[in-house]
Amino acid sequence: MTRNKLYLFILFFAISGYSWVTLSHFVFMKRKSSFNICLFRSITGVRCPSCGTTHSVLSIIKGDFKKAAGENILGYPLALMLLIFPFWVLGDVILRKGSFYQFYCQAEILLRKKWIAWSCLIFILLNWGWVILRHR
Amino acid sequence: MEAQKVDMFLMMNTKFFEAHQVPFIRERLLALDESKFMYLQTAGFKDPTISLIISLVGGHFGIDRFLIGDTGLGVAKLLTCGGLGVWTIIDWFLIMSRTREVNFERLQQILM
Repeated sequence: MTRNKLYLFILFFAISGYSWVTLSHFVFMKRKSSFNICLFRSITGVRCPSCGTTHSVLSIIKGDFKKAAGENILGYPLALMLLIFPFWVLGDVILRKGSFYQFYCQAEILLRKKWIAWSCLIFILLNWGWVILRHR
Repeated sequence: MEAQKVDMFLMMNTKFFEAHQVPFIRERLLALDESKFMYLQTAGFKDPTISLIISLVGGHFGIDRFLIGDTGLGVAKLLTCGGLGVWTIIDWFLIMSRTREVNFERLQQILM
């Protein structure tokens, strides 16, 4: 992936993320309906590993960190990404640098290492089990 | 490389690349040193059809992106419920050409 493609993707990702969080906060959460957009959950009826991350991010924004961890712990990295990445990318674009691109490439190499990949996979599976059990 | 070897390689591996890239690949392979043929044989190109099947089954979890080596995008897809389901559906149509693109990038690394 080239630098410009990645930056475009990150900006699109951030705009979609912020729009989704805002929409969820003002529209879906107020209705208290059982609305869910997750394709996997709609088909199988079982929560997917990242179900509950929107609730988690909204709880983090409200400062309720304990509730956020209970909803889905993956909300933390997602909230951090939403908070840091778009501004880092914008800074890079303005200053004509490539520091975020270098970070992304290094992170990809790191994630491809076997022991890191396996640890992440085990963590995701454990978290998935916890999410399913908690919302049974 | 000998024309016969190049044609044999292309016959067996055309499905891994876009049709419009094949004449360029042939040209580059003909000019390539014989010693690099071994690297070509062991390059381990990803099959676009396999990645489509993986995308249909496990695309929601980003497994298709992990498979072709887009680890960062795989993580993004996994953390966002497959991009709220939208990205999952878009990838059903894009993943085959992305796989061929990744294969071409890998081939270019060998050719350099």
